[in-house]
Amino acid sequence: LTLDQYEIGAATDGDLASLLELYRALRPGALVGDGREHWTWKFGAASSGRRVLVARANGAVVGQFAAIPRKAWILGGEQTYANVVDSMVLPEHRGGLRRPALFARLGDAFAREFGGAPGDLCHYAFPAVEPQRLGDSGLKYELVRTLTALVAVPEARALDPELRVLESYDEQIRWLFDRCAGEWGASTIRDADYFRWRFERAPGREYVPLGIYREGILRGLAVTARGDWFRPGGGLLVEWLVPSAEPEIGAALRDAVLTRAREQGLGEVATSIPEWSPWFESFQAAGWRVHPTSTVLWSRSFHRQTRPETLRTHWWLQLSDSDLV
Amino acid sequence: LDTLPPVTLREYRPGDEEVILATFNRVFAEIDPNFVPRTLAYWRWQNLENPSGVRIRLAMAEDGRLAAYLGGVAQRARMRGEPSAFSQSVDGFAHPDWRRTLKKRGVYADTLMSYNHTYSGPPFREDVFVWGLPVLAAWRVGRAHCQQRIVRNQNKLVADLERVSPSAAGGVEVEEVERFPEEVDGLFATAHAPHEIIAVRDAPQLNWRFADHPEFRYRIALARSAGRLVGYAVYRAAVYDGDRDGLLCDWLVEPGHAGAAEALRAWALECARTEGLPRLTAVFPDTIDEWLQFQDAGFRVRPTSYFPGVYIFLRPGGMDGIRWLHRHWYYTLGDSDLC
Repeated sequence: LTLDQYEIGAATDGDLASLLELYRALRPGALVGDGREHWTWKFGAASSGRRVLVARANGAVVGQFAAIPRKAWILGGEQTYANVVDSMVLPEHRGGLRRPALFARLGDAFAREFGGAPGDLCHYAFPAVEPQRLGDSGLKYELVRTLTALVAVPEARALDPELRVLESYDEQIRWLFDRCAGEWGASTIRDADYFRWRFERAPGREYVPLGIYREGILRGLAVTARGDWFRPGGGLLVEWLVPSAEPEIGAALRDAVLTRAREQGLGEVATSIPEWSPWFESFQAAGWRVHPTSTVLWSRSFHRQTRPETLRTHWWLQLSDSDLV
Repeated sequence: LDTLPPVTLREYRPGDEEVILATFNRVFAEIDPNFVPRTLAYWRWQNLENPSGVRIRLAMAEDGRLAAYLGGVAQRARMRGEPSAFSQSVDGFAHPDWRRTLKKRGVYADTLMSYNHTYSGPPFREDVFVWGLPVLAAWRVGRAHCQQRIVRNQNKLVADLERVSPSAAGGVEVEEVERFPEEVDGLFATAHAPHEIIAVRDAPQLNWRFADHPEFRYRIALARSAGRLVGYAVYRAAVYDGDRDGLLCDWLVEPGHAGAAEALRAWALECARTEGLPRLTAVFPDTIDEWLQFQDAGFRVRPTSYFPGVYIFLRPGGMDGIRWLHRHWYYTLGDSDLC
């Protein structure tokens, strides 16, 4: 087929069966169950601002370029950015590494459709090797930073009397986010709706949100999970939302995370915190060690506020901002 | 280069020093209020006396003006144990009359690419890659026009001296020396083994880099166990990334010799302490064993504003050179010109 013979357009509900065939061929196991619920959770209903473009050939989906949009707080205002995930083209429709034609065309179309105000101020990704090279050569993605892991060995600690496992999410999530966000140049907006989607309704995943309260007010929040990001089946701290001015709340939460991991028999707990954050130093002072990872963060910027050199030193990025956990 | 005076891209010739230094000192004096003019002795040491070779590319105008310049530091290397080479681009500039906007490729980008092609390829020549720690302006040119890529954002290891005390190292003696002895070649032959790519650290290279430096004075320590050389460290007090610290400029220890590492760390901590400095700072890739060992010894990881950017010609790890370099390249502050 020549490039002109592919039909590129927004994914419709009618594409889903063909899309799931694409996943089965290229990403077996990436979606839980038959994939239908998981894909819909990930990318939303067609009416909700879904960011999925597909390439069709002879009526079948042969490629997808997709992202998960997130409301973001960027330099004092509400914007959106999007996490590019699950972007792929069937091998027989690729142009080869020196001519990544269909993938690049999909990516370019995607950037034109969704990139730039009033759409997304940047698209970011944690690419595997081949998409990284394809993005590198054709799609103007740039490396923001290599991620490090903070790792600790679980141990039993005394637990804060006002530690709770959150049963539901309410407006206090946003209150807590607002207290934290003043120190950040960019961040996904954390509120009850986002947490319900990200942690409560995620198919095939189990997250445990731990909160520290004082006089009924949520003062710090950590979300733990198990996953393969640092080591297979390891303990993960995927979300950390604590004002840096409250180190004692952070210490109590860390104790809770490590105690819980110890009770589960986990060998270690890993998290990722930007090096510019005071928490990066705080975790080390509490005995966590900084390890290298193979995870790289790339972005394509559509605004000067989201250039890689700015994001590198101002973006509060958590593992929960990815689909790695 | 359309309306700009035409230039010829070429390598260094004896006698070029005069115009190179004059233009270098003019360009950097304009952009850096703290700039100290480069001396001829320093330039000759850096560019002509390096035992690993010469890496210079010039863009010369017909009227004798220097339109652009890129001077690099050659580094003989071992790649998977075999002789190899790479180089660091350290001094690059364009004459103000030849500067262009970022969107239009100018003579500096041409000089940069000419440097890459002359020393790296294609076709393959000497260097498997060219690297640098670019300032943002240079990085933008390299990124836009010269296929430069980032290996990692560089973090550093910092010991706050009020918090970190050296641990005792039994059975290892540390001796401070003026120059590296020839037996350091034997240490390198053993110590390079865990690293798939590493710049050569033999006596000629180390003495050129540290003992014979025309402006800086380094302190060199050798660690011996039962008389055998099992490691060395190089120290200097300097400003790195905005902080004046004791800097661990270079470091090489026999694999697995914890006693040598402890003894050399203790020596470097004491150097910083006696000089009244608040911190000892080291830079390594986070993929080597020392990264965790230094943390276990009380060092904390902190960010820097640096990131090694590379232009790769030969993709040594197969199809993904950046990731291979990220995983396997050993370097220290002394590989750069930042200490």
